[in-house]
Amino acid sequence: MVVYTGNDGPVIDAQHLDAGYIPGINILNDCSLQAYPGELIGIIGPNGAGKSTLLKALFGLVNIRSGTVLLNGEDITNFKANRLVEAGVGFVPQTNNVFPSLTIEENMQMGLFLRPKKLSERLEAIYDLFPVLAQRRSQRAGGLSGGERQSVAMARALMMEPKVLLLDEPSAGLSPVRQDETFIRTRKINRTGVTVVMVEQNARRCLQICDRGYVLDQGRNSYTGTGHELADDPKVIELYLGTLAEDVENLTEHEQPA
Amino acid sequence: MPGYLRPRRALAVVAIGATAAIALAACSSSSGGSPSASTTSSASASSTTALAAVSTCSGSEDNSKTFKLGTFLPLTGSLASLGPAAVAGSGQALSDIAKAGGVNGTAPCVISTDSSDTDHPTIGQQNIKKLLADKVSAILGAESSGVTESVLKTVDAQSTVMFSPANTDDALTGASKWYFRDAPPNAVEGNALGQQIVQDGNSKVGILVFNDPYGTNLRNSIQKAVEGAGGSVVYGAQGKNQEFPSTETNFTSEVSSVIGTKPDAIVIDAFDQTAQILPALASAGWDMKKVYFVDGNLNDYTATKGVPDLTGAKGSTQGVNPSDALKAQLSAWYAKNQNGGKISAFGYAAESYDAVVIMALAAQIAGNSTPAGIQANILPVTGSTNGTSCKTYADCLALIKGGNKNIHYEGYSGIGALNAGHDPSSGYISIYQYVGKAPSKFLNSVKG
Amino acid sequence: MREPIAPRRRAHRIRLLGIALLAAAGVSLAAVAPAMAATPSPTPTPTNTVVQSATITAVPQCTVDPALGCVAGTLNDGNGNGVKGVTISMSDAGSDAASTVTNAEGHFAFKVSQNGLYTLTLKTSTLPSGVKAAVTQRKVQAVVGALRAAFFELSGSFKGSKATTSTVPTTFIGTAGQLAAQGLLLGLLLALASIGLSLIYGTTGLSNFAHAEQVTLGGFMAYSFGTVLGLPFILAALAAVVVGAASGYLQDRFIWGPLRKRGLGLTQLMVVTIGLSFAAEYVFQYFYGSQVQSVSSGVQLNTGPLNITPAAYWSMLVSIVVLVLVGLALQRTRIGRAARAVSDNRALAAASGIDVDRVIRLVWTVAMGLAALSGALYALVYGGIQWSTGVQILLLLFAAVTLGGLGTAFGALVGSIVIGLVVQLSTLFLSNNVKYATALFILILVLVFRPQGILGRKERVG
Repeated sequence: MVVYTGNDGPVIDAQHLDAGYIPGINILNDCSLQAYPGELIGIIGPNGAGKSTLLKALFGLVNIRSGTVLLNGEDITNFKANRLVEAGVGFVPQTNNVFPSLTIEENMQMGLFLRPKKLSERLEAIYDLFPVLAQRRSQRAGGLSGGERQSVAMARALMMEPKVLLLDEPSAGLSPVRQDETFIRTRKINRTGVTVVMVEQNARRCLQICDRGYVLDQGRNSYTGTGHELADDPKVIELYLGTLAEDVENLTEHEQPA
Repeated sequence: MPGYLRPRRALAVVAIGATAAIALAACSSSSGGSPSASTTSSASASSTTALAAVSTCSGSEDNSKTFKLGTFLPLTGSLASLGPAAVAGSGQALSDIAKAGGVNGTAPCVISTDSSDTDHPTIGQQNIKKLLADKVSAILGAESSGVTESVLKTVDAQSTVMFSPANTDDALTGASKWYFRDAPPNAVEGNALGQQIVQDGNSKVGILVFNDPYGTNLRNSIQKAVEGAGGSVVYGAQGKNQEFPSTETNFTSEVSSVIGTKPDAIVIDAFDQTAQILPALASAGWDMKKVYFVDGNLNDYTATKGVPDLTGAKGSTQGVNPSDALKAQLSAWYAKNQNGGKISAFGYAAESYDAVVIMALAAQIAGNSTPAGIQANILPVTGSTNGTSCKTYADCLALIKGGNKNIHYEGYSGIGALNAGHDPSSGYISIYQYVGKAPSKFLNSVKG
Repeated sequence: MREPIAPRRRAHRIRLLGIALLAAAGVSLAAVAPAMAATPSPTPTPTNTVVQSATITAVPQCTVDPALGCVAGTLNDGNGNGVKGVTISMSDAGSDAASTVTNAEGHFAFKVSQNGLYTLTLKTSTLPSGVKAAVTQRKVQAVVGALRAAFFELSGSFKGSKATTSTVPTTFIGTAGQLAAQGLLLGLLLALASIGLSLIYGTTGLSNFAHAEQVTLGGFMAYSFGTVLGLPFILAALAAVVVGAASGYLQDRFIWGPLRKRGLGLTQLMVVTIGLSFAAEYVFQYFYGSQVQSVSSGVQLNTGPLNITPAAYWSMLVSIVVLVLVGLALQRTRIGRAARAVSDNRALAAASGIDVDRVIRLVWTVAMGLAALSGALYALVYGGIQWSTGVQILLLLFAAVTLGGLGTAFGALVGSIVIGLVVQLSTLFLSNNVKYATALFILILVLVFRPQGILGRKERVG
């Protein structure tokens, strides 16, 4: 685990968030989350628990009605996206996460829109991390497969060297092999020192690689612990992982997440 | 979208820009004028002869006792430039009527409303309803044939006289027993222009005509005249489907097509589009002497830079232009009663004046100024029964008071008696020739 | 007293701008005034002082009056030049007759004092050599108070008669070539406007029905700065672009930006653009009247290989250069790529740190500047600008954008040129009346077979 010097507090500290899309209806109720430097956090829970909403609230895409989000102690609640990117938060949406008519390299350039001067330096670093992208740099992203798009999306988000990377169901819609690759890559990115907060449908696999996990139910934190603690917790197994976990895992291949 | 519906200005017209009016006023006072009509001896051209405007109807007048004129003229919209002439023509007529002792001994009153244009039909509809609600004796208007057509049913249903000084659409012939006009219909103009074209030695005629009733009706009558005189229409003929859309803004292909048929002369039968057709014709090397205009585009293009020199081109227009004496009188009336306003175009001023006088005389003969009384006596006043001729309201009134109810008012417009279709049986078409970019050379005034 | 028919000119409401123009017009009309004083009156013109009892009188020129009718004509040879010195005689059913000789313009005229059927005869022997008359006798029904034309068709030409030349090609290939050039020109001008329309659609999802009014605005600005204020056209066009771009910036700053923030739906926004379009048309009419305003400084003859005017060549060149620059900017520059990124995926662009509002504002500014340029050039090559010019090409703009592929700038260019070519070339085979309908028919055909447009891409999903 990488430890940031001079800062022992959480990188992301979300306290008592209430948030929702429709006025008067909260999807998140008093939901809290902390991510410490270098951690890989997994958010799991049943459908409709508010996992993606929590992630979007952290990134200012859902209006937070009460509660605060701190980034290294600084209040970033309801910041506009471009300010969050500037502040060091990266976000990879679940779908529509590339610019289809732009080439891969142009996608990368858009990821670094705020710091155009560092383009060549960052491209080099990213292409090291994703060698396959280097080969196809002038290809349009719209023609890529789902897995490749996921790579482009992550690479784009990493261009700004974010302190925190928010991933919304990175494995959704991918074949098991590609899912594995995605998890491995996520872990790899995390090892470079980026704090990662990911939402995952594939709970069991997620908990296997996570440092810590949050189990959400109906917009509330119901369980928190290390990945292994949660994966072994009989209540979590009963309620959220279940005996059918393996089957669910196989099904995700065909699943079109909402 | 409004742009797709081009205003159907069945009359679009003769007009004079503000500056031209000033120049002409100067011209008329110095040249002394030629008194064509009898008593209008305002030769001094000073504003002293201008009469006060007749009062606005209060609404409570009884239309059988008081001659209540409702004016329905283009004060706004695409024909607004014609408004002042008609306002002044009708206003001067009412003033003259009041001065001569009124109608059946009572001074007339007026309700002035805006007809606007075919792009703003609701304005006209509302104002017609207002006039009918006020129970006017008669309505003067509209100038646009399209506007008249859109309100005539309403007027007809309320049995009120509607007298247009400017409608030229053939479709209005016999449109209603309550509808009259003293501008000659387009067919008369088409015939005169067609004869002129062939007379100039052109046997093969190309017509650039836009797809609008005004354009196609006029085209039909031009074609008839040209063919009757031994010529032929080689482009734009009836049934050839060569009309251009009235929304056209680029005429390069039309110009190529018409010149490709090798005509001797080209008639531009259109409205505003003409300003864009002319440069395209010039670019294609067409000789401007071989271009003919119609009343809808016989304009002064001096201020339009892209338009080539048109010297030698000819065109026709309906009606007469008022004499200088009448123009001076109308200008003075307008300046006095419209806060110093100026009349920039005199088209249909004489027709407006005459229309009001004809209706007032009809009311005088009837002994009351109800619509029915006026309606029954309009045709005889215009000469349909060969009555005793008289030239001013005062003279005609004296005849009527003397017991002669069969009179024939011969006014400024020079029209023949209205026929069964309530159209002038004859009217004047004037042919002008361009000098530079202005149709300033008068060639012929033809009775059609 | 007859007077010139003068302009059907609405009072110029651009008071400040109009003063100079009016003064100029005043001067030119004052010069014409003396000539008008001398124009003849409609009352009987004393052309002939000799009192004639005969019905028919030969006169050099015939002016109709209520008591006299005219029978007149002009002899032209095959080249359209007047044939002089030809004897024409006219007789009535009785013994009355008169004869005259055509003047230098080939004109002859008789006046008659009675209605009736008259016979005109052309004396063949007086025709110059080389000129032949198909018919030498013609009957004309003359009417008092009216002019009746008498026409004799002549063929051949006399010595010294020059054929008039026109630059209009007469062969099919020549015509097709010229029409193709005209189509390309129209296409390029449409492209200048439609690229902006496409960019706005791409970045905001908005179908801007007021876009055509920006074209009109450009034309009127070129008129105001050029014709009214007297700047050379190039400067006037530049000024028009600046005003257009400024209007785009201000629109987004005060209308579209705030409305986007409030989350107004696209349908509502589209209705706003329609309202804006109406409002703009009335504003144009208020300031510029309803007639065509010219921006060109004079008449130019068609010339060169494409047989179009020099102004048209320049307009094509300017359009091509500007379009290439816009294309390069979109492909190569960071901000251009950002505009494409916003087009592709607005949410992701924001998540990447792109200030989407700033990009959209820039797109509005550039798009309106381009539309203004299109309008200025349109007014230049098509003889002027009018309040309704823009709205008349609105459908073509939307057709071009849809045809090329919604939201793709390059597609808008291709779509515009296809539309331009189809509009013009269709007149080779079909009536001018249906040329726009033909273009829209092509649009339907293309969309049936390629719903995403010519250059639109089918995106891979998942």
